Amino acid sequence: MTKQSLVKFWIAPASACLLALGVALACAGDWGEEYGTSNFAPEAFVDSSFSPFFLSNQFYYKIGHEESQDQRFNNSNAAAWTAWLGDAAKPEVGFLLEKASAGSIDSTLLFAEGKLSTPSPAFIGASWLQKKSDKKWQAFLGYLQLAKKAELFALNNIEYSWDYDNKKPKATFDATLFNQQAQKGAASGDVFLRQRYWFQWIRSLFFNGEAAEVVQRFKNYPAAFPKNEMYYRCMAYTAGALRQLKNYTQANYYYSLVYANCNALKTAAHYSFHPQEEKDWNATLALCTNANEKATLWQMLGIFYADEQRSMREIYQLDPKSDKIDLLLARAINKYEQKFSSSSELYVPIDSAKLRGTYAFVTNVAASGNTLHPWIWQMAAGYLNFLDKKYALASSWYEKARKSLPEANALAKAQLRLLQLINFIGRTNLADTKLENTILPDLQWLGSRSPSDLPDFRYADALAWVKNTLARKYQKQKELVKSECFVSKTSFYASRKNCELMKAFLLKPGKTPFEQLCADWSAIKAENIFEYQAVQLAFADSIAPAINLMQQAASAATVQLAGNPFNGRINDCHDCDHAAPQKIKYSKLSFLQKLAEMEDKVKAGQEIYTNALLLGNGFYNMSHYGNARYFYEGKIIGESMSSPFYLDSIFRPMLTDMRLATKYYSLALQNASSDEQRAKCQLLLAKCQRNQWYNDYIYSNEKKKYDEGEMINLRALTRFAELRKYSNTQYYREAIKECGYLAMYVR
Amino acid sequence: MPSARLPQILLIVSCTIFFSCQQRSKSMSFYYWRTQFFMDSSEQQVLRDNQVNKLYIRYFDIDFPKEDTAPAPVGILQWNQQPLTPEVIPVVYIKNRVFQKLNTAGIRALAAHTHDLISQISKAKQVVHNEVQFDCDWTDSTRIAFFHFIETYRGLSQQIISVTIRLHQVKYHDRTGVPPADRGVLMYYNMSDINPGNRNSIYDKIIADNYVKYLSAYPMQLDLALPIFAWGLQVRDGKVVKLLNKMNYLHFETDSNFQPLPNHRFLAKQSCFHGGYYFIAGDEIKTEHVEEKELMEMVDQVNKYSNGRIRDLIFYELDKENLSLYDKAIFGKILDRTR
Repeated sequence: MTKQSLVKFWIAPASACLLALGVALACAGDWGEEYGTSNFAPEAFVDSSFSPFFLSNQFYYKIGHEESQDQRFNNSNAAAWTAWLGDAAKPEVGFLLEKASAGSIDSTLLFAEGKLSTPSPAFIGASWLQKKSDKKWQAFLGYLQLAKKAELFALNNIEYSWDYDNKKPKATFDATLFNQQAQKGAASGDVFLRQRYWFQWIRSLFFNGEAAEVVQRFKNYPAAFPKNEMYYRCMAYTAGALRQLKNYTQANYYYSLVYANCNALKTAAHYSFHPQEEKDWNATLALCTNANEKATLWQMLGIFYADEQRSMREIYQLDPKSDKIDLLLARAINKYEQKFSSSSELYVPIDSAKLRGTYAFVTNVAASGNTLHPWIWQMAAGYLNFLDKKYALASSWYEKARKSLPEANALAKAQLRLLQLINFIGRTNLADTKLENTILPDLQWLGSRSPSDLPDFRYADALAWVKNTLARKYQKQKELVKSECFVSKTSFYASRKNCELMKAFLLKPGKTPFEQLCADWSAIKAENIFEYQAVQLAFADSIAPAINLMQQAASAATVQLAGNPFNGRINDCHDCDHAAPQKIKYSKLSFLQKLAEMEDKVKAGQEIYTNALLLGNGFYNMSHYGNARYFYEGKIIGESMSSPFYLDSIFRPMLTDMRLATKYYSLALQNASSDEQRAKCQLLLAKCQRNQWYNDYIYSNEKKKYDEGEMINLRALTRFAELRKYSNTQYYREAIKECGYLAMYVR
Repeated sequence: MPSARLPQILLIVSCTIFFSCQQRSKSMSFYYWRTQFFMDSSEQQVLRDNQVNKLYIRYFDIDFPKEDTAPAPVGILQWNQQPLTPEVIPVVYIKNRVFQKLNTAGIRALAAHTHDLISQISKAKQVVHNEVQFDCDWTDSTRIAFFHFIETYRGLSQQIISVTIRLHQVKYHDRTGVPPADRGVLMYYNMSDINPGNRNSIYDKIIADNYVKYLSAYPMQLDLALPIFAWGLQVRDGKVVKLLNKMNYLHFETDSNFQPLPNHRFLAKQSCFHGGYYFIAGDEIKTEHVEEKELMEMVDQVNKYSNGRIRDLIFYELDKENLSLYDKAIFGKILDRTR
């Protein structure tokens, strides 16, 4: 109903001292998950009310900055009033609490009391108006009348805005009458109503009165009232008042009770909990009436000040069976596992006394077996041993955990199965049939998972680790095809033999189940290899065999090229070619077929100039410099590489080579019949010469990767001298207007 | 209407020519950088003792987080007291990233919002001012946007605009440009990165020597801002994990949970709370501040290259915790030493 703030003023840090140096989670950030690298979901065993405090690079896990202060009680308020008024009231209660204006409540109350002949226009026709003589409804409206007034002081807009009025402390609200009404309502009648009036009274004192008054009022809080959300909301305001009075000892104690007993206020209690000195912290501990309250304080310290290890030890000493330790354990493990690297069989070498302390504590507690849920500790101890590559120890802990893990806990079961799988792979040296048959069902299970199956299940890093680790094992055993199935490497396809072996494996009938899994997991399918080999042949000017292979490349063969691959421009402009109307759209296959047709014509001596020129354009355009890069792009060669530097160095020479284009342009030149034609051939040859200069002096030198803009040595462009011989042609005149290099050369 | 750039440069030249026969009197002021405006008696006393007539008050910051669609003010000043000096100069700190993705229309809107909010804050305490200061560590990539903002703001407000100038902007001014402001404040602090080692991040003589010599060629009249602040750096496993705002060595000397080490460093003997911060046993605390003799050294460095062009002196920042580190007479001594 109203927005809350536990401190009167939202204090933002001053710019001069802003330095956020939080815990940096490896791999987390813009690209990774908020919890970094993880195979250990806290959701498997920690109560969901603690989820904001799971390890995260955000302020609160899955929330970021919590901004629900104006809504966090909406549901519980509506539910409480509905229960009190009777179920039939459900639809209206939420509206009246959250949306109805103060004015409409005023007039409707007068109507209900018979003092007005019509209700507020907002409510005309509302079914609940029939109950206007119902005492409970009248009491509800009477309460609402007061509660709506509280919005004048209790609403506190903390959203950033350029409006200073929102930021200023509220204008003084004369709460005398408000407090009298709240006090009167709190004094007699139904406990449900009285408790709510008490809340209004305390909150009004917090915002409009002195902090000491709030504390005094809360001391007199009637013992007969239930210890429910209303009670803890009052306690939270009292804690805020105590903080203003610099009584941090008592304030923090109250915040810990609020944190433990009121889920809606857990985050609010969290950011308000601030022990100042060791003295007040110890004094707060001394206020606790039992070990459970102390455990809450230690849990808060462990989470809010990132000292999980100390907190776990303290809670364990207080009560080994306390469930408050679980959250700390999850955070400690999530920190420890940042050393896990999915991309390597080894681990990121992070080691510190702190991590060693975590290992010692967790394994000792697991061994003692005296916690509330020993399987959690056994699973954790197993995982820490796995992370330290003590696979045999890990295995025995996992086995113990498996025996007592609750059957109904699907997430924990999945997690344990995953951890056992990676431990088994980790401890097995040889990737032989025995290993394959053992892990096959788990791999099939892992590979078929969808994120919606168990949304909190963290398996992506483990899956990547499995693939990397198996690929490495097979590589070591010289089983290159299986290795390639788990992790694809471009360099594998540099060898023709590898391509053929891979194709044979992928197309082999009667695969074993494990081989089938390898084929299914392989990022490269047989058609990708056919396509890739067709491209290689095309770049070797073996067009007929290229067509044959491209026909086996499934859908890749029909991929359309963006522009007409037979265009030859003075200035390359791929976007212009792609946008230009094209009567014929060429696919990868039909482009090859057209090349073959033209080559046949050249061989037959038909229109050699025209066909050779178009062939030159075709070979030019299918290179990296041309408008038809789609021709070579595919799963093996890669896609969308804007600079030759981004092409894999294995393919760069082939894809940037100008020899074929030069060959056919030269043939066209030999068969040209006019100076216009000769001028054109010379210009197109000059373009090839320019590109070759870039290949030789820029793109073959990795050091120039970030300095591609080097000016070409114009003297290298000897073709321009040839072109100048045709300076009387129309083509030359156009070329000198459009081609900056030529213009510079001439100058 | 503030003076345009060219006449201003002429003015500087003429001031320099007549410097020998017309001694300028310099004034002293302070930055007030907290979000709640309330000065305690020791802070007020410093203003009285040094006849400070002018206070630079941080009104708000402006940030533009990457997930947001527009820049917004952060940490807006709340008045809990009437400012005591006759003159107040609002200061707005603008994060450099604000200017990384603003187009011309966005800059216009930002200038209008900023002008409006500054006016609202001043109006709340009937503060009248004819100058506004912008603090932004602009870079090559944001220079054009920031400079355009300054010009737009001046057009809207018709007020004098001053800006903070970092040492690297002095050295590389031919690359980073000189802002189209009426004057600048040389921020003579925060010279080195926050680091766990022995280098003082607030003042580092070697770095200062390296940069200050370019001051003589800087084409703008400057005030000089000197650091009287202190902070602590919480160091764990060789890395700075937290900046302990306004925690100086005096705060640790008296707490038996900390063992003093050389160079105003301390070791947390056991895990404990102190000053609202939590320390884990083994944490090291490196406290940083600039001592009186270093402040004098800084003034000498600036004097050597300023050609007597420093107008006023501003201390960062007025806060009782900072004042506790210095002798009362220090501010006057530094002012007297500044040429």
